[in-house]
Amino acid sequence: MKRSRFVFEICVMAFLGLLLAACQTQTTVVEVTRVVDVTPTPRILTFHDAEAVTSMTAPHQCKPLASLPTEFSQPWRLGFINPNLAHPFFGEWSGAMKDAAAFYGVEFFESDAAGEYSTEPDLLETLLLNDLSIVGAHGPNVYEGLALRALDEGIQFIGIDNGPSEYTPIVYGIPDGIAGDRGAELLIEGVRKRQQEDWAGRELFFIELTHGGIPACVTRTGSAASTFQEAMELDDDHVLMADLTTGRSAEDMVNDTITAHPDGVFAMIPCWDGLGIGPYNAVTEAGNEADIMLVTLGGDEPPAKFLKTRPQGYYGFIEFQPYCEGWGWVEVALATLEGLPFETYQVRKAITQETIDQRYAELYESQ
Amino acid sequence: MASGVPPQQPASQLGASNRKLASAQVVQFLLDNGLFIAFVLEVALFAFAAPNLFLKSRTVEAILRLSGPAGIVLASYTITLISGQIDLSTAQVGGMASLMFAAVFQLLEWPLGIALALTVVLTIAVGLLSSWLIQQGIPSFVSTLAVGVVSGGIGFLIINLTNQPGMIRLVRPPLRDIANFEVIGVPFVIPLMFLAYIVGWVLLNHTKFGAHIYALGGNPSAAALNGINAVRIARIVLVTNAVITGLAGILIAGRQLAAQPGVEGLGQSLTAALFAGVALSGGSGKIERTLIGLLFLSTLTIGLGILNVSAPLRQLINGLAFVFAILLDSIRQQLASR
Repeated sequence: MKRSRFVFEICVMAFLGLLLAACQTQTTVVEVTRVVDVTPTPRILTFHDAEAVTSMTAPHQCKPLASLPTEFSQPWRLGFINPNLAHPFFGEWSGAMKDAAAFYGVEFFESDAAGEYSTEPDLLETLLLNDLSIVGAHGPNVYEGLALRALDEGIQFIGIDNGPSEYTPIVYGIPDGIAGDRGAELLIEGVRKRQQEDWAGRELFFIELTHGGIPACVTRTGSAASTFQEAMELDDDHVLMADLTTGRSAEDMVNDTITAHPDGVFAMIPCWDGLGIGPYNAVTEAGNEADIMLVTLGGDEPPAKFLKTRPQGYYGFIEFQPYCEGWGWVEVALATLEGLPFETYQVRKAITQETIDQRYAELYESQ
Repeated sequence: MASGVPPQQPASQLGASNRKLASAQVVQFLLDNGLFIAFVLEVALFAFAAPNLFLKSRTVEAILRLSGPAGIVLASYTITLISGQIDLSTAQVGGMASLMFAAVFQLLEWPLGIALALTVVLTIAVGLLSSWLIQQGIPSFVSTLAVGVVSGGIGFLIINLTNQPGMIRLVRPPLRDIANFEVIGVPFVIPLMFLAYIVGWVLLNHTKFGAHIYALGGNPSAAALNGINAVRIARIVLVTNAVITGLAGILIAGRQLAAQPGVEGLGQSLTAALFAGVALSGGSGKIERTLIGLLFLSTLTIGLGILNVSAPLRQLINGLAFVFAILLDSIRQQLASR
């Protein structure tokens, strides 16, 4: 019995040995191909038309962030770890990246972290097997490690909405400070209207709904808080923060705050839509909907659908245009690889209850 | 009537008996070698499905890279399981240790040695707490589950006390250089993992302590009657497992440049060990097989990624692997009890 097992294990080892030998053969072939690729060839560059990009990305009508050639210096291979394909916002990124890669004629490889950011380092290892030219990800706590690992492989890393780091010289995504400011401006508009109506004479509080572990959130909601505080002349005691890193749910934190100030009214801005809509619903269930006003940041289909129902205290959102953000990542990645300049991504649209029907029809009913 | 000659069995009964024996032998062979067969089949399947991507030395490196820190923990986890203890606190202990280390080394900027020593002391305390609870008659899986919750709480407390945003950045040299150090182009964590298995193998197969671990896991009462100090062995095993888990947590945090509560990947230890034939009830199993179990799971992760299998399906397959591992353990125990 022992002898037969020994023979069997020897066979297993031999199989693995043959496999490794096969690997070595394969590597040699790849190296030869690379030598051929190095030979320079003169190229006459023609560039994609900006209008073609805008019409290609209808109904989103994205503005191209870089003028890219119709033929690249190399067959670039892009990789991206999507944080959660099942999430509407990130799902739009994915669709846009695939569309953009097809439009520009490059290969695109994608992994799905399915909401588990901690799996991204493992997913990166698999993604790197595709001989990528550049790789990106969105991951609040892990992106620096991902960037370092990519650099180890001689590959640049361009994250989305991650914030700056010494390993990621290129920062791409929502301009968080501007997005926060624009959200605050929209909220101020809504609050001032209410102050002339049912909120007249009520004590106003601002609640910053954030995630302290995400630098982009800290900048985004922090900027909104300071803009709102200054415009509405609130003292520090009236500017409150609900931070997810405390381990408590946003719903509980907001409900507790409202309970603690029974005569107050509350203006809220979250780092992303869901972080605001969840507490909004919790407050509504507790019977306090008349005391809150919400402006969210993001604006993909779920908040748009919710806004269409005209909730009393949901004034509107700043639309980040996730499709254009995803499309733009491909453009920035390709511009970086080609050594071409690119523009920063801009947040343009503020959508309110007055404009939501038209915008919703443009984005989701015209297809 | 009695002729002195044993009665002859009818030919049909003899054939049935032989067939039963043969099928039992086949089942036993599959249980003994099923993991090797499954591993070879898995490699062959992925090689066939994606030859251009899978048959690369870089893929082998990726599999080993993925196995590294979890593999080191699995080596000590196997010994823990063989001794009859089920430790469910690994992910939380790893996270807590990395946060403790990061707070002292990164935020307080104390020397590396002191940060390591303090972390080791904390993990020893956690291991002692687990073994003390077990000594009070609480089953190990309940004790370590509770200790895991406590460890998670300590991790969050460290974050809270240091006023950090959900994690502690870990970028101070020389840790990142150590965590990412390579020997001849291979991350040092890979040879370290193999070293952990060699040490574990020697300990279990060539020392008196290893024999005591098997004896204790197989039959605690008989072991006690033979003078084996069960409390002492459980304490050593659990403390060692906590310390190794903590150090692996630091390694993972060093590679990710961030320490955070709960270390993903360390929780797979139980699946890999059961898959490799380590009995959930203790007393049997071979450490070298758990290495194959780990490689099987890492290959599965990388292979499914190469085939671009969707995340929900990946999760389902991992879940089914766990179910299969538990079933295998059950079949083994039923056969052993016959």
